[in-house]
Amino acid sequence: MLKCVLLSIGFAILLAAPALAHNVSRRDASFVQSTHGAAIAPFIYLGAKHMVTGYDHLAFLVGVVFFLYKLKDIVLYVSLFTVGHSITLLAGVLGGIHANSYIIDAIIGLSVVYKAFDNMDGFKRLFGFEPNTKIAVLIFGLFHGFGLATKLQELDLARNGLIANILSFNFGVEIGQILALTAVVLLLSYWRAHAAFFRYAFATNTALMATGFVLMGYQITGYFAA
Amino acid sequence: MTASANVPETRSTGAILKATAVALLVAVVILFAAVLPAEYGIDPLRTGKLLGLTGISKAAEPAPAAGRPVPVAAGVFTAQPGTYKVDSEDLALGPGEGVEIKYHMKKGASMLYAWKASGKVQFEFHGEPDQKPNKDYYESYELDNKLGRENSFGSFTAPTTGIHGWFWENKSKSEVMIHLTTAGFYDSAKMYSDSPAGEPLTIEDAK
Repeated sequence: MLKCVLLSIGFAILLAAPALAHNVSRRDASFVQSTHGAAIAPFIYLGAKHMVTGYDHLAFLVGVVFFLYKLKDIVLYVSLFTVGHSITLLAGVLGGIHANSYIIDAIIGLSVVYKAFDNMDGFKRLFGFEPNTKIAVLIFGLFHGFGLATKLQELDLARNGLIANILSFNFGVEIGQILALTAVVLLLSYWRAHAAFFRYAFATNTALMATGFVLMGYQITGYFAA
Repeated sequence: MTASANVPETRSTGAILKATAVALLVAVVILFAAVLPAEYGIDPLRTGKLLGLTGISKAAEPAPAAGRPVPVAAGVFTAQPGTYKVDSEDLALGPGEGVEIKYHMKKGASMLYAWKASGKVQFEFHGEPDQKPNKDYYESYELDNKLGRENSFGSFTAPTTGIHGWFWENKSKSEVMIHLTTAGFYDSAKMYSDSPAGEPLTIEDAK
């Protein structure tokens, strides 16, 4: 029973989230705009908030850690993800690379679909081989970083204190990621102690994949509608 | 992902394909029934209207154009961290004299202004960013160095952090009185008449 409840709660959160639109909120935006010079703590907070309320990043991370049991593996994969998104976050904002946020967010949606399909053993079963999971996490991490960069760029950051503010934002993203992952891993380990985990693992990844498809459809439509 | 000891029961190729198809179908239904009506007002199934979801997209601000950064301050209001200041100055300009009053404002801060003169004065409304490429750099907002004017009223949003204000010059043969009032989110004011460094003016918090 508990698993069904957990599943439906998870679903409810994931389905409710797109309506909230995954951007730095208007109020935060006007704060960022009025900021001139370094504002370490506020940017750490904004980065952490962005990650904790960023269902697309979270959905991908759930997929990544879904079948990771050892802390060592979790740390390894999450570090790869972190390296990936930090590179493109910093390079994107500092280098002034303006990626189309709809395309980037659609690719982030694709990363969720990819990971769910991988968790379902789709690659092994259908294609007879599984692409290197570490490289996949790193590459998708790069796209997630571009997504973070486009969100920050929409805010028209002041040049003054830019580097300190981006580093703070990035640091906040990592804090938010650790907070969110702790909750996810705790829930998963609790769930794994029950036999139902294995009964519902496949169904859960199907649900995760559906979420990824929704994100993709949402962003692709946005690309053509905007 | 390689699952070690507790391997969930392996699924057949058919089951994986079926699950993928189910995921896609569920996603398409959610998209068309809820997300697209709520986010973009695209409502082919009329479910958005039925559930009242299309109101969300109408209420939302227009989606930013793809890929281009949008200046957020172009909204209806811009919140400021503190209260605004008020200032009023009376200036007497003899024939051939000039004077300047400038307010220090952060980028995006705004003020209301009004000045009236007893005769025509030439003026330039301009600003100097704190960080400027060279010593003499300034940005001109409004200039009348020909016929001159007796007044000017308006609202102003600082395009850069720096000092923003007016230079007036009396080119007539008689003395001109100028009365300036401002209210805005500036933090200091200076008058420049004789010394290039300027003299600080006393400004007050809004009551």
